[in-house]
Amino acid sequence: MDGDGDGQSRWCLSQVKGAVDDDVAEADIISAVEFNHSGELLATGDRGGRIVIFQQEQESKNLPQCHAEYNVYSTFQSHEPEFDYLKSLEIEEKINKIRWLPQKNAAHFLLSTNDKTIKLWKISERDKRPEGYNLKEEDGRYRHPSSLTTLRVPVFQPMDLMVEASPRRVYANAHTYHINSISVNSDNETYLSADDLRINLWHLDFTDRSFNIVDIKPANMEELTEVITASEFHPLQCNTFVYGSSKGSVRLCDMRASALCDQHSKLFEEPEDPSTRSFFSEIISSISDVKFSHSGRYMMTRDYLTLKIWDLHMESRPVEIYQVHGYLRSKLCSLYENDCIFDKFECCWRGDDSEVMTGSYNNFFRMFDRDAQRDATLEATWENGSPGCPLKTWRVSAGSRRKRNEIGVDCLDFSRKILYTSWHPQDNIVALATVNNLYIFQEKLN
Amino acid sequence: MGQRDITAFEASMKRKNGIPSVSMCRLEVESAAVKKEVEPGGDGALSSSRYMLGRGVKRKLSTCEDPAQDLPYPQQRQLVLDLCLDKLQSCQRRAEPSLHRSVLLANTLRQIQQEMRQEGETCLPLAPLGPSLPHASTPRHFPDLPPVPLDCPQPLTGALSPSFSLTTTEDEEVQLGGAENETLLPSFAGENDTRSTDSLFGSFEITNSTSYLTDLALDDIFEDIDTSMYDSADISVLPFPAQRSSGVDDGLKSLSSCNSNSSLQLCLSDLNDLDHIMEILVHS
Repeated sequence: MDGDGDGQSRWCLSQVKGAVDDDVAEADIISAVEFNHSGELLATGDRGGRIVIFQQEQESKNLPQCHAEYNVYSTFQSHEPEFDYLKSLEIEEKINKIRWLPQKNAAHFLLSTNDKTIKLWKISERDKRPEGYNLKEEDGRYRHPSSLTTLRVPVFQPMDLMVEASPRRVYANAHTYHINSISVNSDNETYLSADDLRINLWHLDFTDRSFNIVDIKPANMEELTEVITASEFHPLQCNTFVYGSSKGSVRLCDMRASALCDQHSKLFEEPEDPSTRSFFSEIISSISDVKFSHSGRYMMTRDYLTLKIWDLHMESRPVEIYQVHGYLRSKLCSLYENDCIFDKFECCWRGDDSEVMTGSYNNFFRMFDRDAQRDATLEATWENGSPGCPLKTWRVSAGSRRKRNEIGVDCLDFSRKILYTSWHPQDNIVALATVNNLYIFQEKLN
Repeated sequence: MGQRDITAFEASMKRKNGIPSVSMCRLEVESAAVKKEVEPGGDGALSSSRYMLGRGVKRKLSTCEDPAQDLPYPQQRQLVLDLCLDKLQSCQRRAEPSLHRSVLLANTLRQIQQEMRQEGETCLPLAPLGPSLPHASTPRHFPDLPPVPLDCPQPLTGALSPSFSLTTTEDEEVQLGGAENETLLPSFAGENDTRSTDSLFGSFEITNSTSYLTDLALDDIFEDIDTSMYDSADISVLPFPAQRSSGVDDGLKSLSSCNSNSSLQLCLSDLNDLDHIMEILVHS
């Protein structure tokens, strides 16, 4: 599909978070990005096990063409590094996934996970505190009861806003392999966690037990040829979930069918095109992300080179296929050599499911308009762009040409990649993480 | 914009050396072709191509196609096989082992092996008799020398399970010479594969042992150590801490099998010398 011809997109850079120099500490590299269900909060996780939550300011009246900005709301250490003594291996504190729970009261809840442990965090605000105790001074010292002459009722007084994050549950020791996905069920009571070989079902209230619902570990590990790469609950049907595999197939399971969902209800797999077969066919078919549409009718899968939209009623082939960076097909051997072929890209839907988006290399990200059947390549950069200024679209050509807004495939920088993306559930705001920074883009409103 | 909006955590995480920083992951396409001609034996060139610092300078290629695609199919396949073995070997050494990656690599390797085996079966009668390509100078010209595997760097015999080193040293037809003539026809027995993948995939489990040592009072571990064994016949069992799984498992197993008081007492009842004890422990 060709990009739009005028070279301008509707998108403009809104904010960049993080240091802008080239030297970034390993611990600061962002590894998860997720808007909450209202879009008011944006959470990021990094390799150091920290979570930073940004909050959208109230809409400001003097900038009608822009949505409000996101500023830091809370920062906390979610996971710590651990050491597995028997295997002599570090268990990384890197945050693999963040998922918000739908908001039920004033507090916000999110699930965060590293390779081994899932935690439920409560983020709550405190903007009042009781003052006027009888037995305590304002500084906390206790007064002797005999010094009291009168009694008073303590009252709440306003204080500076304090945002507290506290771990409410720790769901540990249920996964032998590295956790790659978590997904909250539409019933708001259960969630699933998936590692390379198993998927477990948890109740949010109970940390001492979880149910295994998928187990693809073979009796002989030597027969292992396939692992689970991503999993998600259906947004509306609480009995349905899907999981993607390293062989490029997605299985839909119904928990009503049996306790252990090793038998899939549907298998979504596109037959391989023999003309494009190579040594790397299996590797590039590995599903790196699977996301249901908000409507629940469709499902999107991301593999190394393409985005595929599937109709849940049709298992034989996807209804739409979008080439993310097809020009890399001739470079697979080099990408295999430098390990980029194993990069796992995420993808996301626009709130009304009319567009989808995913990241690429060279800090490019790709937007696909499903209705208009148009796509755009945009670059996440803080150079030569000011907030409010629309982004220019890029074209990637063969060879090493470099023209204005055109770049040759040989000039692409494969160390700059956008793996993690999230789309605001209602507005056209996208957040994505480059290696160094968090970028927030908005669609121009007018 | 541009300033760090959040207070930087001075998280003092110790990182194991060996994770290449992302800024080093650049496309160094030329190295694929260069490496084959320059260093057939070592993995030094392979490592340097992956971890080479390429800051600030983007390399532009004259061709738009991956040079590896220009190679004839057997050479392409050989290149991929070499890379596969190298990556699987380095998997074990990485600080963040990934089962997903290892499974993909193993599948690719298996696919190539099967292909080669099928081809090997069709031309097997020819292979041991001499070079099939006229201008290769093979070790068979010097029948006293064993065939030297082209891509058998020393570390293969170390960290990875023995069968991977077996695959490159046994039953190979190797032709040294120009880069264009390199082919490798490993012919493994089936059990070598299974043993290798078993030990490869078996090491990915996260055990629930992070609290293993915190549950034990440290004193309990050491209370059994008794120096009186060195000057009398009173033997006590020495506990051994958990060790790295590669290579030492056999040693541990054999130690534990003879680690009962009675057998030690029988063996050591006449010995009160530390050196003798160590000698026996090492040889058992």
